Amino acid sequence: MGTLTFYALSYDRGFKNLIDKNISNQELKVHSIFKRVINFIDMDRQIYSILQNHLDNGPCAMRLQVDKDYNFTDLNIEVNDRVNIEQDALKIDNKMVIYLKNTELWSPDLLKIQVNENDKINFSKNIKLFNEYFLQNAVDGGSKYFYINTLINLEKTYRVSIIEKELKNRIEIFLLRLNESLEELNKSIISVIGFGNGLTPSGDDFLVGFITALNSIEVEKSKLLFKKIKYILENTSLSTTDISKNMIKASIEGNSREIIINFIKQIFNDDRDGLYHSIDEMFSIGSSSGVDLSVGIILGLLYGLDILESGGKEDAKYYN
Amino acid sequence: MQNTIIRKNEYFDSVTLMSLSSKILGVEGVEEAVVSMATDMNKELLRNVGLSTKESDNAENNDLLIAIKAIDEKSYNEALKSIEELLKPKNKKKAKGEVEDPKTISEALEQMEDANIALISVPGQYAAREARKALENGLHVMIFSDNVTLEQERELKEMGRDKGLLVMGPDCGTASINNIGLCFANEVRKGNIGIVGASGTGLQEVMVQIHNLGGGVSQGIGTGGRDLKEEIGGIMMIEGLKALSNDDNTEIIVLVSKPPAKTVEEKILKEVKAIKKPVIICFLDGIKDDKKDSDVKFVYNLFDAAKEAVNLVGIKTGKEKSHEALKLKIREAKENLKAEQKYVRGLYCGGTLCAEALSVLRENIPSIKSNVAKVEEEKLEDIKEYSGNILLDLGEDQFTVGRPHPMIEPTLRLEHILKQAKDETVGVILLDFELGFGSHEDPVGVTLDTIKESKEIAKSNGRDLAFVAYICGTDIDKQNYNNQKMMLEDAGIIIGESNLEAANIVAEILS
Repeated sequence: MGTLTFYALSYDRGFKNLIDKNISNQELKVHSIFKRVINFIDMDRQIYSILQNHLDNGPCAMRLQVDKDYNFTDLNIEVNDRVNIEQDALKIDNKMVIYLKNTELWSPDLLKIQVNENDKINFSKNIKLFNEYFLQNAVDGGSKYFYINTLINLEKTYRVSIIEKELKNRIEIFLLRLNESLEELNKSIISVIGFGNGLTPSGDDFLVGFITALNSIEVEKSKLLFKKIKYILENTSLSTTDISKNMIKASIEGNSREIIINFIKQIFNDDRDGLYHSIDEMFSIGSSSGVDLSVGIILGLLYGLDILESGGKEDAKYYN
Repeated sequence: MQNTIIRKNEYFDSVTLMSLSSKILGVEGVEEAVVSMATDMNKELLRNVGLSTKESDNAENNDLLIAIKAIDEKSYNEALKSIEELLKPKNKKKAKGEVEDPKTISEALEQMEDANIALISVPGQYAAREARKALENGLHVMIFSDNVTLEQERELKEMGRDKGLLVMGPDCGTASINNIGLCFANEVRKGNIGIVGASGTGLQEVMVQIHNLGGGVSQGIGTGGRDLKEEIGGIMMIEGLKALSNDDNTEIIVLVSKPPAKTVEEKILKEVKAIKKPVIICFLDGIKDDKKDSDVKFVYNLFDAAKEAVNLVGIKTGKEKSHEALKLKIREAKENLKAEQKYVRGLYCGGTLCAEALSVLRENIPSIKSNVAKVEEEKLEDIKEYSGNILLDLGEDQFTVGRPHPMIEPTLRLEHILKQAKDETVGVILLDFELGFGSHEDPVGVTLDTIKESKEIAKSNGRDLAFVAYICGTDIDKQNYNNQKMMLEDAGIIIGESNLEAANIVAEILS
């Protein structure tokens, strides 16, 4: 198979900065290859992602135009293949060349929602719709058990694994420690990081959703907790996968995927179909990652808007 | 037997990892399985549950951990085999010649050139667009989605009519086309009775009763509940009638709906008169008047619609079965009630069945109220605080926000059953159970413990509580009708053989 040619459609500021640096091929190498994603990594273990066009924009990511059902794992690209950037093109070994001319910069507006009374009414209404949709559509696994058991107050309807039961306990403890000392909060965050199924463990996805939600609303209580969590995460060695570490790092830097930004906007809108569409998009992320992210977002917003107490249990009745 | 396998620096996407986890847990004899990345927290969990090994303790963040605990070696090996099959590189790709599930109507048509119907179940915002695409491609359409505007519905139905295609819905929950059930539908015998209906469980009940009376169904066409509104003008009811009129397999036609707007009724009756086949019209809860017409038979409940149709086919429904045993049960239930136990609480999953029960019971018991009532004085103001005779459709939005529809997940009803059991004025609780495609796998089974608990609650207060039930299902439905029925009988519940009969039983007990 010769060198295959592709054209980039869009990239974010992080990916553009990498291109502008014009790094030599000694410093970038392929990290992992999936059907729709190729990840490569620099010397600082920062991961950059090459995505197919039907995936959404995100931090340190570039989207390519590909044919329907294209599969990157069909290419001969292997882990540790060298990645080189030269003259408006990114090359992976002699196997793939991506032309970068005319690539659009994806530069999302930062989410800074000034929550007014109307937003709160929409939020309250949308949580009910979200719960209904969640029960019908969320895949089993990850933090689903926590959410249906603690927040919606329903018994499980499927076989729950020990990892889900334990994740539920850890999230509940995390929620109970939110207003305690940095040391206690630190312990509860560490117990969630790297915990659970998936290439990005469920605990990480939940935490990323939670952090992103806190940082998206202009509420003092929310900002304060965001700063505390950011401080903890910047000063802690994270025991999780490379991909997850990058995802957490992006979230404390205020960077999010397009789908997550859209979901948070929709949760404050009075647009039922738009909300359902954004939940569908969220749930399409990974296997349970989208579900875990959305659970984190909902919990983060409930905290930020001062309607989360006692590990979520108190709110169960209200939101049923 | 237990062990932990480590795959160094291997990345599999989350979907593969999750399917691996559920596949292993599904192997008989596997007690526990953990498939996760070897982060500190996941390794700690393995230690806590006694599944860690020296290798797992030494694994690193980017390694894959697979821990299995099985009752014996055979189960363990079976689980291992599943893992290897799923993680083999060749299994990451579709086999040659195998095609992926279609994601658009065009892709689906490429794969199934002879398809002639599309079922649309997407958020309402997108449903009209998808339905339009399907119609443009010459497909009949069933729209399960709701939240489609009346303007869009009319536009789609006019487009369908002009192209000679059916547009069933929006919000159409039941259809049976050439004996293939779509969404919520019962398995019924193939036959020569065609039904067109603007109500979901109404259509199901007529199909079920036709089957149970020995007849068979050719087609069951749903129109969606708003078709008979003036804004839509019954476009699909009329097109459905025409389709059944032209269908070689249909000899008798049944029309089921709530009474339509007068102008729409006139249009439909005009169409009915032009049809050469016998037509039975069931205007559920309609006013019984003298609509004399040689070719049209009017009935006002679902059982009669089925019975008339079966009689027209020439099948003798025979004389009424002996109801001695039933009468005895009714008498016992009546005698066991205390003087203050005067009221019925109907807890329905099927909206049309609830409406039919209301039409029956209002003639026999006083001051009945319901959340499906159309008459002002029968409307239930508060669905949480009420007293007296009450019928609730638990499938209404008021109850299902945050929860699946009770036909899919009947546990929603359990708390309501217990609530009624604690009310000392309640004598009878009336329940429906729907079988068939789309419905819960074991609707009676999930309700039984609560019924028993309710009876215990009443007993501990010196009361007896009567339960009356109806199972909307056939002997060929996947849930096993006889098992469902036996479970109810064993629990001492009185069963009606139709929704109509169940309502009449309640009326007799409380009269």
